[in-house]
Amino acid sequence: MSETEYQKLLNARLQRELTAAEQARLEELTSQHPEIRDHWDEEMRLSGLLDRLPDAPLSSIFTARVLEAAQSEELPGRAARRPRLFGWLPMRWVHAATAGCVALALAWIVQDQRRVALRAELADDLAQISAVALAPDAELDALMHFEEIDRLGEQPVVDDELLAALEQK
Amino acid sequence: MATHDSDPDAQLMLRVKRGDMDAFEALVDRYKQPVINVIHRTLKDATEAEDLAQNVFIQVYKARDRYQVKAKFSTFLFTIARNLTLNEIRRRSRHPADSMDAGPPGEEDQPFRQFEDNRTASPPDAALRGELEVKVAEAVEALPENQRTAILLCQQGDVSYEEIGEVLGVSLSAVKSLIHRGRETLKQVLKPYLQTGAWREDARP
Repeated sequence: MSETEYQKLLNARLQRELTAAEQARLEELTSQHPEIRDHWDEEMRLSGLLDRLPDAPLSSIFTARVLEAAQSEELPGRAARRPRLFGWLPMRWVHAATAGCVALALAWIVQDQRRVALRAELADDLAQISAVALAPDAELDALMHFEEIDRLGEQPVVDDELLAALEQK
Repeated sequence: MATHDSDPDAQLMLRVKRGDMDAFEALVDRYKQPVINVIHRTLKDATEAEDLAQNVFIQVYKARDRYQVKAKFSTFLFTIARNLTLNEIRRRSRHPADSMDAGPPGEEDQPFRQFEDNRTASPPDAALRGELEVKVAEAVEALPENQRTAILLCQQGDVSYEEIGEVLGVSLSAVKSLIHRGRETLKQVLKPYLQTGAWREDARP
């Protein structure tokens, strides 16, 4: 059927130049069917318009930018291009989670240090009491007045009002 | 099944696979304009089209280790270009306020790019050509994406219908149908220009 043959010729022409044989066949078809000639001419005019579509603007440094980006892609090595464990997470989430973990670790270390120091102080106090209590010549009376004796080392509080009254006398 | 060992661009890509940057540069130089032309007709923004075209070539470079000569290099390249363009359209539809203007990280402080205008024409000719080009561009951009891509790839001259089918992921008959329907739409829209002969070469400067 001539229309099918015409469509084949048209599709061929849209992809490449027609061969001499194809061109001759087209001439034959269009001489027999003037409406095919009109359609063909319209298609060629449309192709002409499409050929005249201007190129999209392109930066003069496009190639240089692509090469630079490709080389920077190369620099970290292929291992760096493997998918990361948490690569699917947004980086700001990863940073926030990291900062949170560091803060928690610091708080735990400080708390642990305080607990160790408190235990050491308690152990020291217990050792002192034990030393006194277990002394062979320890007397129960001395232990009964332990707190008063312990306070003897403290500086007495100055009673300013009493001093002032004594000076007036 | 046709092999593509004789495709010179596929040979260049095999050299890229072996680490030859000169071969990669040759491919970028050869295809940068066709790629950006196709992207630009869809995104309609020169800067974003250029950023995306750059990304296309970076993806080609990243995929070099996996590259096998199963198809012409241009088919491989335009498939990546179309996929990235469609991804960008989807991204835009999800985040309409976002823009690619910011560019890749680390480039925020770079000056705006300057585009060269290689077209030279006297003012009246430029006005005539300008109107025609705008009408044709608008008509092409108004086509459905698959019809537009098929027609633009066809206009590249060295991309066959079979290769267009591979890029679009459709059969040969579907490609013919897409091109036929797209061209019929264009003829309807551009009828006044087709009839007046404004397209003719002698109207050019």
